[in-house]
Amino acid sequence: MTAYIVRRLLWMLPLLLGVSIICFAMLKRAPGDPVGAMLAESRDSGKTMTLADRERLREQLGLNRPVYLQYLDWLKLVARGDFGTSTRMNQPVSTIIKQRLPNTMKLAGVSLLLTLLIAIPLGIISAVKQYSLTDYLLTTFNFVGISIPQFWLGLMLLYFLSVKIGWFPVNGMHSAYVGPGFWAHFKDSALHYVLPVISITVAGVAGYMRYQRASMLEVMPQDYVRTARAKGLSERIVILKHAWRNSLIPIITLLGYVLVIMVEGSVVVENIFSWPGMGQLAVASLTQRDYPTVMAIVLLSATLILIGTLLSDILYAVVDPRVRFD
Amino acid sequence: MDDLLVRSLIQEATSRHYTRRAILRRAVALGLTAPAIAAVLVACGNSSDNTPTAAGGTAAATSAGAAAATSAGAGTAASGSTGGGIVNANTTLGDKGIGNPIIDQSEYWTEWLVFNKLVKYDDKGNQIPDLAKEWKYSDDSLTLTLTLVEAKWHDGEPFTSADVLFTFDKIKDENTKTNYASRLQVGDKFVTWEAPDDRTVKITLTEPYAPFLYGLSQIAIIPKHILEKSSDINTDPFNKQPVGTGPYKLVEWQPDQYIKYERNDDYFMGKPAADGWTNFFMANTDAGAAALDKGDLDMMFTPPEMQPRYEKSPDFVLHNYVYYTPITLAFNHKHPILKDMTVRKAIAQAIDKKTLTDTVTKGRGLIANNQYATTGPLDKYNNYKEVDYQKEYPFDVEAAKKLLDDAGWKPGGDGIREKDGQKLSFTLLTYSGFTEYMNDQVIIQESLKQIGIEVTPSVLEYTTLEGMWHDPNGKPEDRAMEVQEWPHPFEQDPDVYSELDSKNVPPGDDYMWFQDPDIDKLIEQGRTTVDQAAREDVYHQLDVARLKALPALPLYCAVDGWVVSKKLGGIPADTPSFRWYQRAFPEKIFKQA
Repeated sequence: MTAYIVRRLLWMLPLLLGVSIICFAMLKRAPGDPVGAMLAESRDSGKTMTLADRERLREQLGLNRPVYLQYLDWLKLVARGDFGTSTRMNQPVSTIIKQRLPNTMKLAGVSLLLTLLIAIPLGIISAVKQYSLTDYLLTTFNFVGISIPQFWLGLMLLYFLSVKIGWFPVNGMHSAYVGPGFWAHFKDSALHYVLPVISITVAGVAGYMRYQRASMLEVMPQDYVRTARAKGLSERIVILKHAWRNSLIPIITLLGYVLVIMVEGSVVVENIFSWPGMGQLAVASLTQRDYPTVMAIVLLSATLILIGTLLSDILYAVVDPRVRFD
Repeated sequence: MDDLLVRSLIQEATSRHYTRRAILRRAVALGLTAPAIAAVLVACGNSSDNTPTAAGGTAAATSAGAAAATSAGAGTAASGSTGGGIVNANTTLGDKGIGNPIIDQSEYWTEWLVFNKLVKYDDKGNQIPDLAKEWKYSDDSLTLTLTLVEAKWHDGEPFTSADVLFTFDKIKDENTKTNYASRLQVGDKFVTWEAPDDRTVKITLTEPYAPFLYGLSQIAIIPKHILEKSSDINTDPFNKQPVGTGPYKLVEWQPDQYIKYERNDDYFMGKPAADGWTNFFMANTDAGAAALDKGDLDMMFTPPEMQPRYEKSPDFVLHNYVYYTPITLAFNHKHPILKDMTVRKAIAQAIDKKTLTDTVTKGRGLIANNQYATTGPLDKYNNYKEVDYQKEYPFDVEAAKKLLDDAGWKPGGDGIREKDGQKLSFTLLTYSGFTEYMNDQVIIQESLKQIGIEVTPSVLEYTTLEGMWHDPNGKPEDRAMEVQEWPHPFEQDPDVYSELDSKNVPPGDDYMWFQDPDIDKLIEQGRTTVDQAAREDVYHQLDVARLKALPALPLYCAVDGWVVSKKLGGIPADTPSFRWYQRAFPEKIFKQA
C-alpha cells in the first residue's frame, strides 16, 4: 500500500511537467500577449500606447525571449516554490491565489456538503422505492436539475429572489456597509451564500442522486443483500449497512474530482454572483493573457486532480476490503 | 446649484475614459455566455417593449440635440438637496489591485476619486484647471509654464512642484511599469522638466507638440514624500493604500469585491458633495444590471441592447452620448485589390448608410459624414462646409456597378466579379462583444453582394485581432476589411498620427497600412500647431484629405448610454456626456437618502 502510494506520487512529477509544457505551449500559441491585452484597454482609455511603450513593457516582462527560455525561467521559479508575478495585477501570484482560494473553498465546501447530504439519502430512497410516485418525482427532478444550465438558474434566482423580491443581495460575499455586531455580519454573510449555493447544489444533487440511485439498484438484487434480509435484519440495517456501503464505489470515483471543483470553483456561478474566487480569477487571467496566473491555476488544478484520483483509489480499499494495491 | 456650477469651472480629476469597448469586451470575455446572459436578463426586464415607435422617438431626440437631448428630460431629481449619501458605482474590468495611478492597469475609480492631474477636460471637451491653476506656452511654443494650486495630500503634507517632478521622474524611470512614458515624450525623446519654485513647473519641449497638454491630462500626480524611499514602486504597499490630493480618501479595499472611499473635507476645490463612494467589482454588466435594479448601484454604463429597458424607467435616467469616433469600414491598404481607389469607391457607394445606421443602432445613431463623431468632443475638428461623405459617395448601386465594370471587373459564373483570375472576394473582420458590429457585417455583406462583391464575415476575440494588427508579416487577404473604429484618435485630442501616419505601419499602429504623404504632412502640422484656431483649420483640411483618399469609410456615430439613478444629484441636466462629467467632477455628485 505504502509503496503504491509512493509510486503514484512519484509519477505525478513527470505528469505535471507534461501538463505544464502543453499548457505553456498552448498559451503562447494563442494570439495576443499580456501587453496586447493592456493595449486593448489603454486604447479604449484614449491613451494609445506607442510602440516604444509596448516594447518597454515586453522587455520588462521578458516576453521577447525565446519561448523555451521563458518556459525554463518559469520552471526555475516554480521549482523554488515561486509562481512568479501576475502581469495583470503586479503582485505575486501566490498572494493573489491566497486571497481568492479560501472564498472559493467556502462556497464549494458549503455546496458540496449540502449536495451530499441531500443527494445520497434521496438517491437511496429513489432506488429503494423504485417506480413509486416518490421515485418518479425524484427522477423528474433529476432530469430537470441536470438539464437546467447553471447560468440560467443563477440568473433566474438573481432576478426573482434578489431583484424582484429583494430577499438576497445580488453580488459579492458581503456588503460594504453592515451594521455593527457579530450577528449583523453573520446574517449579511449568510444571505450572500444562499443563491450561489443553490445554483451549484441543484445540478450537483441531480447528478449525485442519479449515480446513487443507479448504483443502489445494482447492489440491491445481490445475494448478500438477500442473505442479510434472510438473516432477519431490519430493512434499515440491510439498506444502510449492507447495500449502501457496497454502492459507494462509483460515488467515491466522482468524489475524486471534488477537490478540483473546490479549487476551480464554478466559473459560471462565480461570474454571475461576482463571487471573489478562483473561477473569476481564472477567466480574467485568461482573457488578459496573464500567463503566470493561468499557469499557477492549471498546475494547481492538475495536482489536485491527481491527488483526488489517488485519494479515491485509496478510499476504494477502505470501503471495499477486496481491493488490493499490490 | 449655481455655486456648484461656478465651482465646476475650476475642478479636478478627469482621466481614463474606459469605453463601451473595454467594458463590453470584458463582459463578454468573462461569461462566455454573456450575450446569452444579456438576452435572458433583458427578456426578463419588464420594460423591454422596444417598439419601432419608441425607437423612432428617441432617434428624433438624439438627432435634434445630440445625446444631450435624452438627458435633458432627466434633470437632477435631487437638485433641491445639497449633498450627502454614498454613491455606488461599479467596474467590470476586474480587480487588478493597483491603486497607484501611474502604474499600468491601475484601478480607474481610484484614479478619479483619490488623485488629481495637472489639467483636465470638462464634460464638453474643454481644457480646465486641475492641480495647475494656469498654464502658458512661450511664444515659440517650446516652453510650457504651469502654476500650481495650494493643496494638501490626504495625510496633511503640502502638495508642491516637487511632487510633479517626482511623478514625471518615476514615469521616465525604466523600471516603472507604466504606459505613460510616451505622454512625456515628443517624437521618441523625453521633454525636460524643472521647478523654479514650489508652485511652478516648467516643461521644455524639443519641438512644438499640440497634444502635449492632453498627455498631461492623463497623468495623475503621486506624492513624493511617501514614495521616494520605496524600493520598488511597482509593488509598493502604496498600491493598496494610495494617498492623493483628490476629493475622496480610500478607506478599505476588499479584493474582487469593493473599494470604499470617504470624503476629503480639506479638498482644495471645496468640500465634496457626497459622504463617500463605493465602487464594486462586478464580473459583468449583467451582474451590474441586477444590482442596479435592486438599488445597490447608482450608475452603470449600459450596452445598447440593455438601454430600452431603462428608457422609461421611473427610477433611472438614461444619459445617452455619442461615441467619440465613428464606427467605420476600414480597408487594408496593403491588399492588392483594395488599394485601388475605384474598388473602395464602389464599395462606399454600394452601402446604404442610412438604413445601416437606423437598423443597427435602432434609430439612435447618427450617420457619420466626417472624420470625428458628430456632437462628440472632437466635433469642432470636423469640416462641415466641405466634407460630406454622403455627397461624395452617394448610395447608388448602379453607379457602383458601373465603376467596377469600367475598371474591368466582370461578373463571373457565380455572380462574383473577377479580373485576371482574381475575384472580388474579401474577409470582413470585427471583434466579439458587439451585436451591433455583427449586424454591420451582415448588412455590408448583403450590400456588396448586390454589386458582385463577395464578403466573408468573421468575428474574432479582441486580443486575437490585436495580435494580427501588429504582425508585419500578416497576409492582407486575412483581414481585408474590418468593421470597428479605425483610425482611433485620442478621446479629446484629434491627433491620428499613430494610426494614420506612413511611418507607423505594423508593427506600429497604422495596422491598415494606409500611407499618403499629403496626409502625413497634415498630421504633422496638426501635431505642431499649438494655437487652437489654427489647429482646427489644419484638421478641417485633414477632413477633406481623408474624404478624398478614403482610408476608411465612416459609417455611423454610435450612441452609448449611462443609466443613472434619479437619487443622484449634482448632475447638470445639459451635460453632453455623463461619462465625462462623472470623471471630471466626481466631487459634485451626491445621493439623496
